[in-house]
Amino acid sequence: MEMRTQVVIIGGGITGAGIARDLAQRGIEFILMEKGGLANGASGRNHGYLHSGARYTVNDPHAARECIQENRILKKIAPGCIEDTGGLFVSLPEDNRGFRNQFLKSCEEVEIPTRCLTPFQALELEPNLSPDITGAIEVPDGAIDPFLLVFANIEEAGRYGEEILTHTAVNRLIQSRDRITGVEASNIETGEPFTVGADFVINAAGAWADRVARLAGLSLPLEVSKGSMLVSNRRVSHRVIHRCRPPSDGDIVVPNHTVSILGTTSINTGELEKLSVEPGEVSFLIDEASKMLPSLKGARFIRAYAGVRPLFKSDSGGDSRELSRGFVLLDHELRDGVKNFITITGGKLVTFRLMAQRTVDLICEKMGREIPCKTHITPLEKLTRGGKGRGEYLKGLGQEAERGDAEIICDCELITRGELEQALAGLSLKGLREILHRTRLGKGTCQGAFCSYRLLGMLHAMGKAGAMDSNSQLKGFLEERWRGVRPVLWGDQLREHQFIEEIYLGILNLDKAK
Amino acid sequence: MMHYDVIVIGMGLAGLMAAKTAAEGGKSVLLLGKGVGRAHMHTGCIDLLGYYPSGSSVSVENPFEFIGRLIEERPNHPYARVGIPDIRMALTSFLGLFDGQDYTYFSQGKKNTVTLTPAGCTRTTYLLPSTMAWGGIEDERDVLIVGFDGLKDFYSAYMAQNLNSLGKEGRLSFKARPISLPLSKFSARKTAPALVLARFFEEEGFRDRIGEAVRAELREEERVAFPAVLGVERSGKVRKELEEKLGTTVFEIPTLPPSVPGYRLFQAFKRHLQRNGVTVVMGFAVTEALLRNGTCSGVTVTCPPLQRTYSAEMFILATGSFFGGGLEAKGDRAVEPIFGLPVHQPASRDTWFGDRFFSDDPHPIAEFGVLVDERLNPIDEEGRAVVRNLHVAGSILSGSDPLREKSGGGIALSTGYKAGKGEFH
Repeated sequence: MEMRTQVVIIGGGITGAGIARDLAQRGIEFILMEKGGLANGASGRNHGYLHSGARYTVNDPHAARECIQENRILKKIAPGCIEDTGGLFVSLPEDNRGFRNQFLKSCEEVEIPTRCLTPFQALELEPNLSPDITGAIEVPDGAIDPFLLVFANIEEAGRYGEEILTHTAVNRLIQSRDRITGVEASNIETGEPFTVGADFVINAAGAWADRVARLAGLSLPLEVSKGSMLVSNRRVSHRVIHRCRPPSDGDIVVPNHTVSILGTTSINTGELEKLSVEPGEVSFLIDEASKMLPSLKGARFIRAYAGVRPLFKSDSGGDSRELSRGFVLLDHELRDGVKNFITITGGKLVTFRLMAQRTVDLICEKMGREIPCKTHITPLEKLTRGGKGRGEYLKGLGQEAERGDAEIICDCELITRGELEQALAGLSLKGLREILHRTRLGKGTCQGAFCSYRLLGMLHAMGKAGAMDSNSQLKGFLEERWRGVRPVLWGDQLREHQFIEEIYLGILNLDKAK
Repeated sequence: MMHYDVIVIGMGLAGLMAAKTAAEGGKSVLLLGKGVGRAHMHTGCIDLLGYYPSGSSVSVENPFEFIGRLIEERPNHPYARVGIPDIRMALTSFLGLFDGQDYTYFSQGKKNTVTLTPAGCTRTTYLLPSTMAWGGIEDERDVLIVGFDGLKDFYSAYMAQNLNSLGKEGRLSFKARPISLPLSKFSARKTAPALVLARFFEEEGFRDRIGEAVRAELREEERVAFPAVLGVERSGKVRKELEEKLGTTVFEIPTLPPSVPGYRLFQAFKRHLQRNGVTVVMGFAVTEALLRNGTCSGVTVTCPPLQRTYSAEMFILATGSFFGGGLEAKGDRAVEPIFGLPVHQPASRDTWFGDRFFSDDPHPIAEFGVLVDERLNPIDEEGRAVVRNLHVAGSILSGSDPLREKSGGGIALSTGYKAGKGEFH
């Protein structure tokens, strides 16, 4: 099979998704290829933290400026996946006052608004904070649902199977003299190979960017650092809580819907695929975060996971936290003499739109065309409509329940059958995992133990399962879930785990199913 | 202080069986439990031994033959502590609960039965409630599977598709066809959990309307499968009437928990125990044992503001594994919280689990538990008795992997039986 397009995007994370949307808006044809599912790398394995930029003001004011600018844009164009929580940088007695003053000063320089709170004021806002805090600084941080953000960009950009090719491996970049003329790819599930001719190729493969560059005979000084995160079964703060000290491990707790996410560690790694969270990381994160929020000490944790950050190495080298968190746009024409190849890497979730804009600007420049970017002024449709708050949602649920209509499929996150059917209706099926990411299904205390079976049952009932081997899907999901829950199995979480084993091994007998 | 001959702690199958056996032995018995017990969380079938060794993918045809092997090869397994004669006695005693009733339990002689799961795969068990009698895979008659829109723990289309693909692989010789009835057409409710639906089936009018609707959908099928919601107290009658109405055999397939057949099983035990003078106190957690010189004199139950102590000559601990609360996992150590019994476990938390969820090798944690001698008295790692007048039964015992072996029901009944017989030093 041979296809032809103007731009091939490699990578289905938020960067690739943002670029796809931007290209679509500017009327440029593209095909996006992703070897896994969407949001498979760092885009799906982060805190869900909407940076205000405050964290970077001291070390990297440039990145901080980008963050605050994009923070404001996203709050306007994608309110449906953002919770505008605000954030607090809290100081403990052992923290250096000098850093706090420097932090305030640099926030002012970058024009990030701050408000200083006394310990009393901070505890009034966040009663779970340690009574030992010596003060707190409020900043415009927020929480963001990265999956919804990726899917919303993709859905506005193109269609599955046409412009958006997931589970597609890029095997070779076809080069002719100083250009890449096309991409040799194959469908990972069927093995079917195909080629796509392209005017431009964009490497938006995140932590995998160096591997993609190597297909063009190039190499990138990319450092990959693993960050592990831990999810508690309830939300311990209204706001994002940071430690007011130089960036270090275990210094942030992000509220995310009904849970809190503790982050993070930073360990250089060569491993990109099978990331595991070590027991030592789990206890470290709990110890550090509970200094700010002591009730985390005895909390129940429902999942641990790790993501990989791609960090572009400066010449100085050194600690990976010292590397720039800003993004890097590489025009390989200037760097390596490959005319139509561009790499975009690094950056933050919050700056994805700007990264896409710069990338597409560069393409337009190379095309010799002037088409203005509109992504910063066009709302992401899907994420402006469905943006009703949790309170509104629960009120609606109460009314449904009174009418006897509400069938709650996910007991942890209160997702009803109606809501799920609506979510599934317009969806071409891309496996269980992707469906779970589109809803809160599977993100609550039981981590999908009940609702994954119910979801498959509903797919069959709706006639959307096709020839899918549901039990293999279910086993695959439980196996992936296992990687996340295994590091946190003690106390009540272990009790629940044994119940889950009772269901899948005892009642369904899936361990013996072929 | 109320005084009894025997206090049994735990409302699961092991505790129920222990209380039954002790009461039938003429003892005054108090049964204490903090909740309704594990029976409600399972299928309602009694698994004896489905796979041996536990990682095997071929199921056991004759469980007693393999229990014999297991006893020789694994002397610390609970079955080895009980022995085959008492396992048989325990099953006979269990079947006695249903004497003269139209809802009863049966096996295919000495053989296991391969039956159906709500995921449309097969599972191996030993004793089945009579409502599940015609659900074996050896039966070659086609099945109409009836589901309900509004019952979220059972999906007929999901099951049928999987069963039919097993059929294509030659592992079954019948075809399955799904239908799903909207609950709202038959009742005032659009949705109902399994137990509520089961109560609807006790009403003749509801049953008739369902019967009519299913008959209208029947084609060639000679068997009709329902989720396990065919009545609560009168399931035998409910099924029989449906069979007459449909002119087919009717059987039940388990749902996700809570389980209606498990509830029926629990109620059968509870009725029997109360008739036999057992005091059943449910909803109170035992928080402390009064121990002195290796002997227990009483236990304290707490439900604030109430706190109360009961005394007895002997005690039976059947509080379950982690799920039941019989074992608790602190950050890096598993403990038995009431008596502080030694818990058999590896030294480090790093080795509690295997790398894969579905693994042929058992997760080491499955075998954690209390060590006992051949009388089911708790012992420490050196084999010394810990509490002299205490017996331990059920999944709190170490040495087995009941979920992968499919042996949980048999272990619970047989160790409960043996503990209830009460052989002490």
